[in-house]
Amino acid sequence: MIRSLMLFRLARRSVWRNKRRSLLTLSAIAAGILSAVMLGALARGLSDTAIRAAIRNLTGHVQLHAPGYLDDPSIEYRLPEVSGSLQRVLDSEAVSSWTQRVRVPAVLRSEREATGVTLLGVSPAKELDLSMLGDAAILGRMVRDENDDGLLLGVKLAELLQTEIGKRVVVLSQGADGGVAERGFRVVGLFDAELESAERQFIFTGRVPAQELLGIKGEVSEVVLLGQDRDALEELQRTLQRAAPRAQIDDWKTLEPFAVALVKVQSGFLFIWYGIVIVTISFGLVNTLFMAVFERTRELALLQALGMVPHQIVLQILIESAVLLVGGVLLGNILTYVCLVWLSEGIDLGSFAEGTQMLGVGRVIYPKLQWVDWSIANSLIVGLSLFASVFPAWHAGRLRPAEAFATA
Amino acid sequence: MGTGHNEAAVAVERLSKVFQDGDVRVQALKEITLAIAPASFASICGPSGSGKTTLLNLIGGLDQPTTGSIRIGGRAIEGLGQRELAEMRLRHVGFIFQAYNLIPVLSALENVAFVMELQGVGLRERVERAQAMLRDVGLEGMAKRRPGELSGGQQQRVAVARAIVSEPDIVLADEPTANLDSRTAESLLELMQRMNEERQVTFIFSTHDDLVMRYARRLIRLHDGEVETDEEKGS
Ligand SMILES: Nc1ncnc2c1ncn2[C@@H]1O[C@H](COP(=O)(O)OP(=O)(O)OP(=O)(O)O)[C@@H](O)[C@H]1O
Ligand SMILES: [Mg+2]
Repeated sequence: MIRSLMLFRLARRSVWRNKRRSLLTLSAIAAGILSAVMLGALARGLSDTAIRAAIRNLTGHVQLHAPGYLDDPSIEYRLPEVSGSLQRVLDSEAVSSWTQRVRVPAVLRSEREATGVTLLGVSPAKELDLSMLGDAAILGRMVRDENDDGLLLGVKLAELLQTEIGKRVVVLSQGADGGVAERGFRVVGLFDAELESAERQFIFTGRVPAQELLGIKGEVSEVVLLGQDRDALEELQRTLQRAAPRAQIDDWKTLEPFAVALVKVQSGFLFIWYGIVIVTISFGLVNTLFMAVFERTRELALLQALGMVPHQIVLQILIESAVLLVGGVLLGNILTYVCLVWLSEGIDLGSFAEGTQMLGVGRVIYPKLQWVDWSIANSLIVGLSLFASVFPAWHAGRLRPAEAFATA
Repeated sequence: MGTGHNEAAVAVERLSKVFQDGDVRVQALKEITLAIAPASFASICGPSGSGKTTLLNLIGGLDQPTTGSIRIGGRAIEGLGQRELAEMRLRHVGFIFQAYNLIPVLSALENVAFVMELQGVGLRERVERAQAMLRDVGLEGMAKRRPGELSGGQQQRVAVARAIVSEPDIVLADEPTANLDSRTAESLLELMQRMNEERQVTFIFSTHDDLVMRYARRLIRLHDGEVETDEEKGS
């Protein structure tokens, strides 16, 4: 007891005396923790933003279609409007929000230009709830309800077609009967979404006018819903399948393979980065701890000459490492916390945004700290540091006093 | 400490030490036989490379002999393991080196108390004994100073205090005055002589210094690892 107190006092003072080297070791450990945890949080944030953006991009957690729609999203593949047992499932606890849409390819023509778009006949209130329309800035007004035949376009599309709020445009599509369905709509609003591709592609009107235009009264192209947890949807999908046996049911992972791939690639990079951080840290650590032993060969020999046994010398060096380790881990986590608070408003990618848009990610990334990432990063660094301090300690224990005096 | 009446404090018999450095083989000691009585004040002298440090290291258990036997207070120490040697040093040997004798992060008082702490002496007793010892070597006001804040002569005095305070059978001092000017060296020698007389501690030191040889009551001269002369100067 007395002896270990003495070892601790010696260790503490030695650490304090070699301030420069101790600071170096301390910051190596702290930097390791900081970079590993922050990188994990950023990668998680990036994945999360990508997935969220994909889900908000009209995808939802789960979609129901007539079989064949995904390969050829046209008027031919339709579902009856939701009713009966399917409605009961959709209104249950397991579903946080749902809607049904008409969704068909169309051509939009202004006085000057024409371009291919996707026409959506929606229930606006529900869309605000579960799609990117909820995040977008709306100029003019939103489509009021499912009977409203006003048309909402993306800002970018309006620019392209050289049209504006109040003007009339023509929507052309294929009707259910195979003939051309065509109708003039008044532009009532413009939406400014995070993704330019969404602004260019989607045009919205009430569900009922869309059904009338296409001649599919009482029918829709898809049902979209949000469950409670995007990573636990299997049970819900099974229930839905029982309620709608003829529908094809897919979750976001099937519908947004690109987002899923992106997340996988990121995890790969994350592991590579962990590897780099850990190799760097361990070199730095072994190096400084070995210096701590070499510089003090004479002192350690003296301790042995005075009657300290080898295992006490080993313990002494290990305690020194532990003091530095505890300090470094504390410092690293405090710095990480400060960084996370500082970045909690999100990192605005600004000028990089064009590049990230291609990846389907928004402009702002929110670092997301997960308990798992935190504990992996911390235990890796701590384990590694302990491992790295064993060698110098072992070396110190093997010093023979006479030789140590001779070489010092 | 448990040394019998006729028992020597240190007895070495046919002690040899060979250093093998790759192809180079150096025989530092050649079958030395010596006995040093309790309460001696003995000096080992001889030219550089004659084996003084090697002999002191073997006696103190800092190194192990190639052949031969060493007895400290009647106990054979050749063939002991590192742990047992450390234990032996802790209980029976005090060391004074030429320089860097003290643990830099400990104060003078803590340095003196350190060995007692290793021995498991309680806090109050060790502080009292260390303080008394510092007073005895004339460093009463310096207890709180770190080694870096003491002069070379003061550091050597602390080292003497530390070597003696744990009441060892022998104190081994390898060129204790080599880094000191002659006046400081003389007062250190007087201190050691007084400790030897008052406390009956056995001192064995090595030296190049004529001054030190004058203080010694026994002079063992080594040459090429062998005892050349061994004279008792009457006491
Ligand atoms: N660790 C070692 N490895 C190889 N040779 C050594 C070692 N230690 C000492 N020697 C050799 O043993 C011989 C005796 O050395 P030692 O240090 O005992 O001499 P010394 O009398 O103390 O000399 P000095 O007066 O210079 O201190 C020398 O030739 C030295 O080179
Ligand atoms: Mg020598």
